[in-house]
Amino acid sequence: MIDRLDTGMLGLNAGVISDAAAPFGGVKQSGVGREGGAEGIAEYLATKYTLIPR
Amino acid sequence: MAGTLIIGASQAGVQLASSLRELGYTDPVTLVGAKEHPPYQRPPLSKALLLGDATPESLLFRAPGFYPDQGIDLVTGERVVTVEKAADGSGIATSASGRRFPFDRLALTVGARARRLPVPGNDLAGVHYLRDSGEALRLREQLQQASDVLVVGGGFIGLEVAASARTLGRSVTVVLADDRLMNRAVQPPISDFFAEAHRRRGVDVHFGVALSRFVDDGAGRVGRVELADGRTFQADLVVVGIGAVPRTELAEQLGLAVDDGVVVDEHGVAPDGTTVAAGDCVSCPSPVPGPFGRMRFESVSTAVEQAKVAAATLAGVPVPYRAAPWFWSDQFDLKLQAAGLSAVADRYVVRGDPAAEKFSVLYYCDGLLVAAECVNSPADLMAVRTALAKGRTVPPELADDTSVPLKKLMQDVAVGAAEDWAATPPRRRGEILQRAFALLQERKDDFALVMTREMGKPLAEAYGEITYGGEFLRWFAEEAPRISGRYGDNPAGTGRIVVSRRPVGPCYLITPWNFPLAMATRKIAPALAAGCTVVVKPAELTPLTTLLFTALLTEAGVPAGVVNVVTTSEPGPLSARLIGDRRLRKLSFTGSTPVGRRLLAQAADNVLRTSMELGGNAPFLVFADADLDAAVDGAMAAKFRRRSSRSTPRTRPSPWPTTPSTAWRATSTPPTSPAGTA
Repeated sequence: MIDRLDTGMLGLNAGVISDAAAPFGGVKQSGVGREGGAEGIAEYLATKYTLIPR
Repeated sequence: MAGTLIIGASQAGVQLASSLRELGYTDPVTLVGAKEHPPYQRPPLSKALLLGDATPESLLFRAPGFYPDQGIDLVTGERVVTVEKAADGSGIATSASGRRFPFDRLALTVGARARRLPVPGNDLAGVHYLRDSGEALRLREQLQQASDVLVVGGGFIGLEVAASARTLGRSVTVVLADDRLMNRAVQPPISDFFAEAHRRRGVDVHFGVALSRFVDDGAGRVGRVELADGRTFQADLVVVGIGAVPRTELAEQLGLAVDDGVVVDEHGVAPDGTTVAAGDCVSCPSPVPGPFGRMRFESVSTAVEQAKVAAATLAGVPVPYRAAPWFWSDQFDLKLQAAGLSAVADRYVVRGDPAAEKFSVLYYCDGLLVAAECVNSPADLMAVRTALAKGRTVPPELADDTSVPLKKLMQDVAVGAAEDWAATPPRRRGEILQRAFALLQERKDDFALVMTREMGKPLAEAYGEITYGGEFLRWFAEEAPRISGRYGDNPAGTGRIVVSRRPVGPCYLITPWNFPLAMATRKIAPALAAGCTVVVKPAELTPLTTLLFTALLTEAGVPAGVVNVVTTSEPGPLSARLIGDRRLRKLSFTGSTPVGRRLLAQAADNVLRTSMELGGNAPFLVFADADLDAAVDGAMAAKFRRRSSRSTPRTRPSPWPTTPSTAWRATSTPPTSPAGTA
C-alpha cells in the first residue's frame, strides 16, 4: 500500500508529520529537493570527485 | 522562407547578422542599410578620419566577400520607410524606392540621428553635424580652410572634433549648455580634468551657454555665433554635437512601445513578443544591478552586446543582457576609457596622478566597485572590466596604491564572505547554530508575539512554530560536523577515488508567509551548516519575523555578510535580478507551483541548484474499516488548525474506494485506519 502511493511523504495514522530530522518534500509538480534530515543538508553541498593515481 | 530581416546596417546590425550565423541560424538573413556603402565603424569619424589618418574604405567592418560567404544578404542604399507585421512576427518592409523585404522575424538596428539645434541660422553653410561618413568627409574638407572653429556641445563627438580641429592648428572654441563636459557619460572628476586638459591645449571652453543664433557672413555662410547673454564668437565653421535621438519611426508604425528608444526586455524583445532590437535605438533594462530604470546607450560595446543578445533570442537560445557597458573616447593624446555605470556611486577613489595625465577614478556604491573612468590607463580599465564581469571589487582603501597592479588588488568580496564561512570549521558552524537555538528558546515570547501580530496565527500556534522551527537549528547544528565523503579504489586498481563534499556557494532563499520562522530556519540552518552564505527574501507580507531571526543569528555569532535579508513589496523583479547574478549558486523556494515553475525557468540561465517546495494536493485517505472519529479529528487538526494556509492541508479528504480505482490500484487488504501527511 505505502509503496503504491506516489507521494513524497506519507503519514500512517498521523496527521502532522513534519520533523527537522525527516526529509520534507513532494513529488512531481509539488517540487524537487528535500528539507530536513540528512537530505536537507545535502541540498546545500556540492560533490567533488578526485582521482588519486596509485 | 523569408528568414530574418535586419533593418539598419549599423554596428549592431552587422553584429546581429554575424552572431546569427555563429549560433548556427540557417534561415535567410537580410541586412538592409540606407546608405550606399557597406557598413563601417563610426568612432573614427570624429578622430582618424578628420585628421586624414583613415579613409572611408579603411573603416569597413568586413571585407566585401564576408557577407556572401556568411550567407548574409547585404542590401545597401535602401531606406526602409514602412513595415507591416502580423501577430506571428512575419511581415513585409518596404523601402523608399518601393523595394519589398518579406521577413519571418524582424530586427531593428536603426540607430540614432544627430539632435538638431533649433536656433535661427542653423541651415547656413558651415554649420555641420557629424553622424555618418559623408558628413565626416565634408567636415574634413571644410576644416582645411576654416580658421575659427566653434563646437556646440561638450559630449564625446564635440570634444573629439574640437581635439581634431585643434590638432590641425585651428582656433577652437567649445560652448555647451551644461556646467561640465560629458555629463551624461562620466562623473565630475573626469569632466573637470578634461576641461583643464582641453584648455591646456588651447581650446577655449565655455559652460552654461545658451545659443541665440548663427549669423550670416554676408555670403550665405556662418560668420559668427550670438549667445543669449549677448556675447558673440567668430566662427567660420560650426560643428553641432548635442546628442543623438533614437530612430523610432518604424517601431511606432508597428505600435511598439517607445520610451527614448524602442522598449525591449532583457532578451532584446519588444513587447509584441517577436520583434527584436539592439543598439542606439533601444531602451533596455539596466544590464547591471542597481537603482536604474530603463536605459539607452550609445556605444560600440553596448551595441555589440545587445546585438548578440538579440541574435541569441532569434536563434532560439536566449541569454539575458548582462554585460557591464564600457566605452572610450580619444581626445588629443588622452585616451578616456570607462566601464560600468558610475551614476550610482556614493564614493570615488583617484588612482594615479591627474597632473601626469595618467590616472583612473574608481567608483563605489555601498563599498563595492561599480565603475571606473580611466585616462591613459588601459590596464586599469581591463582589470575593472574583468572585475565587473566576475563580480569582483577592490577595497577602496587599497585602490590608490599604484605600486600594485589593479588586477592584483581585485577581491571577490561577495564571495569573500562565502569563502571565509566555508572555511569556518564545521564544529564552529554547528556551535553557532546551537547558540541560535538556545537564544530562540530564550526569546520565544518575543518571536511568538511578532509572528502573531505579523501574520495573524493564534499565539499558541506561534509557540508551536517556534518549537518546530527551532528544531532545524538544533538538527543541523548536529549535522554540520558530520559532513563526510567517501573513499575507495577504482575497479582497475590504478587509482583511488576520493569523493568530498563542499558548500555549493551563495544561496537565494525565498520563504512564504504562512510559517515565517520555520520556513526560514528550515532553509537557513542547513545552508549555514553546509558552509553556504545566503540571501533570504521573506514573503512581502511577513518580513518582520525574518528580520528578528537574522538579528538573533548575528548575536549568535554568524559573521557579517553570511546571512543577508532583502525585503520587497515587488518580489518578481528583485528575484529575477538575484537569480540572474552569476555569483549565485543555489535557489530554494517554498510557495506555489506556478511561481516555482517560473523561478526554475529563471534558474536555468545560471544552471542553479534548486530546491522547490511547491503546492499540490495532499490526499487524506480514509479506508472502509477506519475509526471515523479518529479520522475526523485528524482531518480537523491538519486542515483547520489555523484557518489559514498550511503547506500540507488535506485538500482532498476522500474516502478510499472500496473497489480500487484504476488510478490508485490499492492492495486488496488496505491498512486499517485514517492516514495523512503533514
